[in-house]
Amino acid sequence: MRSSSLPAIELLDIDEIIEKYRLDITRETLENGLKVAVIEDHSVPLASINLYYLVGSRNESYGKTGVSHFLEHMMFKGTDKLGPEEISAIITSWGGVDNAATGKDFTVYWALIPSGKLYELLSMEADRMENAKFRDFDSEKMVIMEERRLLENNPYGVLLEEMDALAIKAHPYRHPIIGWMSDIEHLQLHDLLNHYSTYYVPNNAYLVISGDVEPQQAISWVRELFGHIPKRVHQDVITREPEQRGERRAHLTGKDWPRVWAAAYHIPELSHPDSVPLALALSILSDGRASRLHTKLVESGLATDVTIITEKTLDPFIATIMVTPSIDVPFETIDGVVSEELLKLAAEGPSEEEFIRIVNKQTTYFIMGQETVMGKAQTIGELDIMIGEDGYLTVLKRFSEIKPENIKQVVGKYLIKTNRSVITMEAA
Amino acid sequence: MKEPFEVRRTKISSGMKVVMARRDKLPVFYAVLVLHGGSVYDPPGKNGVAELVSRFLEKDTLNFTRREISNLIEGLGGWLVSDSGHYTQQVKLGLISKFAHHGLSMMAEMVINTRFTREELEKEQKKLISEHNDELTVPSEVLSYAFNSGIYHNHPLGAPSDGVVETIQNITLDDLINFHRKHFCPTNAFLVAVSDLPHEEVVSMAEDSFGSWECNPKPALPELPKVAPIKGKHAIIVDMKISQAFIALGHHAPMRNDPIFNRLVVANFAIGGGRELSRMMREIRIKNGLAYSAYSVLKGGLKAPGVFAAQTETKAETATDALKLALDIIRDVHEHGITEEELTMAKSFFQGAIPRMAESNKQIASALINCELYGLQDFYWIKEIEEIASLSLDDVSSAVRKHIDPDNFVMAVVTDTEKFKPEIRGVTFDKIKVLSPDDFKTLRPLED
Repeated sequence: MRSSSLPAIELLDIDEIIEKYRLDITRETLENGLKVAVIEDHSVPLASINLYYLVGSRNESYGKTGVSHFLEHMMFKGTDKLGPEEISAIITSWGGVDNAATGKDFTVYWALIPSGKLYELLSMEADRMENAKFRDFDSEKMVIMEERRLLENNPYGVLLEEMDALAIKAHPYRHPIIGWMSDIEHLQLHDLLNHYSTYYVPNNAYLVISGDVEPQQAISWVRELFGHIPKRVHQDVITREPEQRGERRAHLTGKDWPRVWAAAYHIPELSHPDSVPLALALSILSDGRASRLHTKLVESGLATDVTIITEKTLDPFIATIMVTPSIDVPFETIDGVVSEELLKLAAEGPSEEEFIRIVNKQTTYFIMGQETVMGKAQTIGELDIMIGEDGYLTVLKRFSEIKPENIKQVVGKYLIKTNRSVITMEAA
Repeated sequence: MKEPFEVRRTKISSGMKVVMARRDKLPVFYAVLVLHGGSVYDPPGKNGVAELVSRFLEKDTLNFTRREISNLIEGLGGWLVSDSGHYTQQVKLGLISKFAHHGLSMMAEMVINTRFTREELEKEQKKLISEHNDELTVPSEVLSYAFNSGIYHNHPLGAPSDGVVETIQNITLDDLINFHRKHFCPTNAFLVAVSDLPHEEVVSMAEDSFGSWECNPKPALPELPKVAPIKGKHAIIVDMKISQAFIALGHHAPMRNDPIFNRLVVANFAIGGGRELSRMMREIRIKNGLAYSAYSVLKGGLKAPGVFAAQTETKAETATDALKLALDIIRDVHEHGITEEELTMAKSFFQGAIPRMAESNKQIASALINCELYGLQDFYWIKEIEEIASLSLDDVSSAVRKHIDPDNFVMAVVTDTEKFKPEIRGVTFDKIKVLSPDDFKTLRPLED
């Protein structure tokens, strides 16, 4: 092979990028506590809304797991004015798309519509914040149980659910978002009504509007439609996950299941100063073909796939390294390679080339995320909720401040054996 | 409706076509090199060759190591990946526009100076077989294997585009080299680029990277075999010890560029493509609570018929109820067409959806690829909506009577056979085949 010279890569100028691609956001907080952000983008005649309620599996207890997700389903069952599934049917008839997602920390209702329909959409969202009618309870419970079975019939889904329960002992993050099957079966209508009246209130919500909209007009509509809904205060989650005092292990078997090796490490919440260097460390390990674990495991033929799964969370959670070993490659070999790479990164830190690569990658993701109105809304909504106002700028600024030494430190602090839980899975 | 941007086409000196769209929105460059060389052109009994060639594109080339290429592209914040399907190989590039020349230069290096070694082939064969074995543990993947094999039988489209265990292990280094020599030619490829850069600049960069690409002789794509029509009702049951039944039921669909296609798009919206407005969603999920998802898909054919499929999943014990509902819907649409309200809703949906079709550079590139592959007009996603707006109920009815067929279909069900029997009231199957996931390690799982 004749290796020719390739151009040297330099760090992108993050300050210049922040200056050039700073989003045009208008913010307002109504008297009832509803926070609103409007991102103006007239490039296409589209508007999106993301209405976040700060409630998810984080707010659930034993016996009631899955109640946030169940509630999300029931929010499509109409209001005094609208029939079951009518909100989605109306949005579809406009040529729009909508859906909702329940996570650990929040439940989000989103829609992407022709911008001329924004007032009507806001009107329907305000209506269901206040007047949701939970019709078809029994048949929707059956639908959710089918959704749960989908997860149970996917071995990778089972593994991740088992990992949360193994690695996390006290915090509600250990429960599956969809809930345990026995809890879903026993949830009653009054459980949903309690959850709705407690959490679906304006002071627990964040509304992000993005696209071809005039900000002051949009905010005046929000004030008109949501302004009268009363606020209500609830208690926040108080449980904190205690420090892990040693490695935990589990071995799973099931008929025809694939062989998978996975290790989960406790990591801090997104607003923690260590979270950005840790995200960069995880990127060095598994993001792209040039990443360390891809090179050592996949390129070498020891594994067919390696991925790191983590989430942006309000409280400390876990990052899971998941490896699918090639035929006949023992789990111990995979464990050895992963452990060696983590020790090496903790001892030596990233090379200059790696450091530039991952910082540039993360910075570019930010620019590319601005291609769609929905992409912008998601970036702003999630990072503002997790980090605070202009969370995306906070993260970008941290990228520009981080040194390779910071990455080395966080790997040595978090990605260590006493802080991990290992699951191996194979066919029974 | 006004066309939102200009599309331009040109040929560079190697004979390769370049298709460009320019938008000033963001400094993002998105490009796809499309080669007519997918798995349908795999040599007989060697299914998996196109996939393996695609994987070699991401390895060391004659001039650079894979690490050097990855470091450059990822270091510039971009990505450059290869992908292989049934009809084409595609190399996709995304990065900030000011680095586009580096990206195109590496893209050309990957496809022109591909380096094949026996050691890497053995590694990739082992990896691909491992991946297949893992896929056969996931019910939704097994369903896809089963349904496609029923729809396309022994045609190359009936096998997974990345081959099956039986054929992957037979592939030699010469198979890859010959395939690459035959299909990787500038006249057998086209480049689509969407960015904020002037067309002249894109052409100049394409010329620098691909202008001297040569190949000899000029490739001639082989004729594909005919797809056998589906006659009667065929059931393929795959036994997996799971609590649900994963179901797909359908048949062939017309070519994508057939003038009748958009009439069926409207019918499919009413059957299962229109989410909460569709009959499948209403009957199977909303009214009866049988499933989490219930929908239908319509895919137009390119060089062989496309496919119409109704899909859902439900617990094994209620699978026949869900199947009966789906079949009743298909029969009703076949016999009576769709309703006035459904036609109005479909027209309204497609009209309103136009701005969503081309919001990102990636979406626009994908649409331009469709124009090239299927012979569709530029901005077809706007022009076809105008056509849909003029359709009458009779137009749709005549199309569904011919192309939505409740009597000749393939039904694939992946489930626990102890809990499910293909006994649906009013339906007599002409052929029932019970298989295990391991049967899909072979090329002809339906043959006795």
